[in-house]
Amino acid sequence: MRVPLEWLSDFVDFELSTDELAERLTMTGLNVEGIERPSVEWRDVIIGQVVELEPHPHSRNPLNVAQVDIGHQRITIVTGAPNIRVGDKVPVVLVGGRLPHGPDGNAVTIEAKPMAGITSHGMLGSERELGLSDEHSGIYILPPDAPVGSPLVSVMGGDVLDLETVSNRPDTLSIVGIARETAAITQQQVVMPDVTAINGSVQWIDQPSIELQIDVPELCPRFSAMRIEGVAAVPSPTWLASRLEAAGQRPINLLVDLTNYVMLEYGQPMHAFDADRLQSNRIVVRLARSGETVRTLDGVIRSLPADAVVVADGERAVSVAGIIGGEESEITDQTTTLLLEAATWDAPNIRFTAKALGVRTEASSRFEKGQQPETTVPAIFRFLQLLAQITDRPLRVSRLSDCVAREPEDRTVTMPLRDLDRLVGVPIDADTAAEQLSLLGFGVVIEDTAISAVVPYWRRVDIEQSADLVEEVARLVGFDSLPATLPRRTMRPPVTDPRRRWEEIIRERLLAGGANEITTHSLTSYAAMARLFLPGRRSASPQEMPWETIIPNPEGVPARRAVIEPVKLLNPATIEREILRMTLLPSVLDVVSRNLKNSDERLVFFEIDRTFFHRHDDLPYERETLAIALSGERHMRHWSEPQPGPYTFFDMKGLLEALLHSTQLQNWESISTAHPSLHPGRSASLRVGDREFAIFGQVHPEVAHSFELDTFPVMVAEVDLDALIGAAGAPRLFRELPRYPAAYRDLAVVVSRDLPAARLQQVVRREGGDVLESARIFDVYEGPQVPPDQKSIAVEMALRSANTTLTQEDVETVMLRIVGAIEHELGGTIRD
Amino acid sequence: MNEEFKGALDRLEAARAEGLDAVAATLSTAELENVRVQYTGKKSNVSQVTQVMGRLDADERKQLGAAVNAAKTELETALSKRQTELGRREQEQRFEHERVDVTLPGMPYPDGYRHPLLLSVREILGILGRMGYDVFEGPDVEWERYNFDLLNTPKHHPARDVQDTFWVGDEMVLRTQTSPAQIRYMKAHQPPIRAAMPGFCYRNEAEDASHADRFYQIEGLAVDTDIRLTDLKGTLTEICRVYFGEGRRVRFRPHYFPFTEPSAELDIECSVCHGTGCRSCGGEGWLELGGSGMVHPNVLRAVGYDPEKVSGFAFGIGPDRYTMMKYGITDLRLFREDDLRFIAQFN
Repeated sequence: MRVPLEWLSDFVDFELSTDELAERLTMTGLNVEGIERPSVEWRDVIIGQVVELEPHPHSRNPLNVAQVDIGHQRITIVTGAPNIRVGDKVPVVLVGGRLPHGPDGNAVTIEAKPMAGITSHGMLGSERELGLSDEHSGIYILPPDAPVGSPLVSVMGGDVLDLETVSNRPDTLSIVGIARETAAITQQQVVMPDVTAINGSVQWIDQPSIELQIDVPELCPRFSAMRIEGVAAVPSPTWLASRLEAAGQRPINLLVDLTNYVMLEYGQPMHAFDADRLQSNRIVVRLARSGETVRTLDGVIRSLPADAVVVADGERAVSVAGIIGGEESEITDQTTTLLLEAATWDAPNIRFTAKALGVRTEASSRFEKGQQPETTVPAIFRFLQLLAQITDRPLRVSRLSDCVAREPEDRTVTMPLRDLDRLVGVPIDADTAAEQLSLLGFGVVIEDTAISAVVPYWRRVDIEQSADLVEEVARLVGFDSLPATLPRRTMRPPVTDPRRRWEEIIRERLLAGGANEITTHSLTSYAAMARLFLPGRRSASPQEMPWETIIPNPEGVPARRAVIEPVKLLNPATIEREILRMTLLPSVLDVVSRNLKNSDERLVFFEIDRTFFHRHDDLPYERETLAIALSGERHMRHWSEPQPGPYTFFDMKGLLEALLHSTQLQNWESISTAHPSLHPGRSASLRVGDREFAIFGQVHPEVAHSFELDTFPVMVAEVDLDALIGAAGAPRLFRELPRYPAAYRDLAVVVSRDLPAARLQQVVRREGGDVLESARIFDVYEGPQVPPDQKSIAVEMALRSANTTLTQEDVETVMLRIVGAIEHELGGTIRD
Repeated sequence: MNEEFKGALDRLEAARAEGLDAVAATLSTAELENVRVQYTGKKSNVSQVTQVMGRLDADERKQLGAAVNAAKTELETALSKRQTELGRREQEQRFEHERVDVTLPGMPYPDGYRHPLLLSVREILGILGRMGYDVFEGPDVEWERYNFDLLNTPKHHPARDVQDTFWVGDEMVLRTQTSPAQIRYMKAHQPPIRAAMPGFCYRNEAEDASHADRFYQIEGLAVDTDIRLTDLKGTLTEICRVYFGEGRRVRFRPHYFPFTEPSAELDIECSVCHGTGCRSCGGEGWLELGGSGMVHPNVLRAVGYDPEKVSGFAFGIGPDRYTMMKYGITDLRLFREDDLRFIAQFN
């Protein structure tokens, strides 16, 4: 809401500077978002009148040479503007003066410049050059009564406050509303004009303005109308036009301008029909008929939604109630009789209809927040008063037609005095509170332990209960003056939720392992997810892809009563963000790809966020998910290792092992598995028992290509943290340090190339029994030293007893057992 | 004097003198080791002197023994001294040989970087945790009822702008705020309550340098028998003091939110102009940090609390905004690009 202070001062005599007023309003709840001070900008702008105008005699460009009267003299100005005519009043900046906004937006000083041989002694300003708007197609034409030779600021250009208005205070969408607030914070009274005092030539006709029929009284609490004959759509006087400009409304003609003026001043939207263009004097307020259309003021034919309320002249809808008027009855240059309407409409209905039509107007934005019926009649009389004052034509005015379909109810709210202390925290006595409330227009009675307040009609929307009055008192006392305290109770320290605790442990482990934390968008598209499939395997409709093959632990989804289908938005903003993601991998790979453009070293990223799975008839399953990606050179290139080489499958596995270690997960295993996005020989699944909780491996080169990741191999992992954390979390217990020495034995075993190393370890562990403390694979060899199709695996074993020092004999017994099992079960041979 | 005794003493003296010369002439510890064997070993000239012992009388034997021991001791002392000298010299040479270019960069020990947004989230949750706030996360996809109705924002409320909400079903939305977690928390707990509820929120808004259709929010909630507006002011002031550091001014002014009454907005002074107004704060001098207020009695009633008996405050913190204000970041879009050059700046 733009508030010209000069206009505001009609209603309240505030003796504050612009900055002080802005500060006070902000700190009591009307946030001033900006202050405009055109008077400073317009220091050098004066009012001139074009007295002669002819085409430039020498220029090939369409230039005009204007003689401009600036009061005490005439000057020559060369201008390219196409819109000026002899007699126009225009803003002028003389040579040496400052034009507020030059071509680059900054102020420029005007110089005497010959243009095609004729020297221009000044410049005429457009709206853009004056900073009024972006309009720059012609010179800004001032109203005809603008005084020639005077500074522009003598008729317009006072300071303007730009106020942020909140949705529960429609009363502040008016100058009078702001005046009430200003009066309250400066302890003044608002001075309202006596709208019954009408000066001018007004003849009252004793006939009703209209014959009114309201079919939907619940949607139209009040409808007031007045027929005024003898009007003319002439230009508005300067003071009126400039106030509208300052408030952000473009002046059109006196009749339209006055409806806007009264709306801005009183907050009551109005509509002026050309009465002669209405088919009859009978006005019907009714619901739109099925399929009914209206050609609105903006020239668009609109079909009306069901539940839209229209104003009809008998049969035909002539305006969409409370939103926008119809073109067929709008004011034109020929208008001589107008029918002025001021009504109140049901807020939710206006909201719904405006949204359905896609139209938002000054009127609808006020009605949708709730207008009170008390203002319709004063607004109509204010219009008449101003019209009579401005026009010199005799007006013939019919009797006001006014129908109150639903009487407003007065509301009294009681505020127990203890609520002030209890909710605000400082003692505020009853007298102070009562005074603040009466300054705001409440009818206040102090009772024993409470204050009862009759809510003024303009605050019916937001004042309903005690807490609302508490706020009114507190904000006038000033939040800034309140002390800052802390809640008095000391709370017991909260216990961290185990899921969050594990998640943070995992996060820390990944960071310590050199992975960088990222956070990507959870909205995505089918097409973006489908990139995880080989190009040849993508089906024509991306919705049909086998998503269960992509995600880790697909069985975990039905176990949570969900299905492997994405959650779809009903109203996506773009096709790129139409569903909630079921996997983090595509966006993590996108991050690798983007960063690869800047650097190819250590592109290690992880993200922990939710993935979403649709549930019928319930909120979706939101699965806590971790994704990791490694690509690029595995170290920074460094003098100690100038060619580090790419990441491998085992870099990823090592990182996963580290985080599994930190979660204390026991007995997990890694199993070769097929995954549509991964290299068939380098993809694995991590499991506990038969429960999968992660997939990882090297991204298939064709899939990597879809992410423009062609230069380095890419390793990825996706972990179902719900499953992992569900399996993790044995409490840490101290284990005795070993008291007896260990015996160490190395064993090199030649086995079939296909034999998984884990199988060998499993046999070693089983046979080693309690005394086998560890069995670590420290070498794997394939090549000329072993037969083809065979490999050598070297294992380092530590044997230790908790109770005694193992003898040579003890150790050899165990080793014989291990070797025997390797030979018999695995067909392995021992290398010496 | 026995000739043999005299001869032995002479040989001993010669061997001793030769040995001392040899020790003095050595240039390395390896050489010195040879000298040691040559002059103090069993076959050395010094030891060989004792071969005549059997032919000497007791007194001579005693004298010769003493002389041999003295010579050996002298030689060993010389050897040891020389060993120290040469050892030190050789160590110095080795050190010189092992000299490194200390200006070369050290070996990398790369840590990962936390994303600045999540870094701030952690920091703010840490501050709240120290004040006794329990952390609770609600779902991203919420019932309309929780996101709006129970927060005193019924269907036709002007604050509920359908345009801004992503719908996933008739009665299901992507939460537009973390406030619905308040409802869940209050339904599951009884006062006294201190809870922090972090998470991503979604609004159907065009994205630019200061708007995103997905953003992070941390909701704070305190409900107790005696929570006051001044407690809210104090709590927010303390959070800012710890997060932004001493000396950054904040102000607290009335505002409107449907689920709080009274409602307040917290502003922080612009880091560039310190409240006087400049280009970077749009001339206002102050930048909005987030909304807050006393929990609306209708919200307390909606979760079955008695607003006559308990009161509470709630606040929303936008960690992305906080991060921007703290570090002077001007474009919100950087938070969602995950550019390592950006992420690496804040750890």
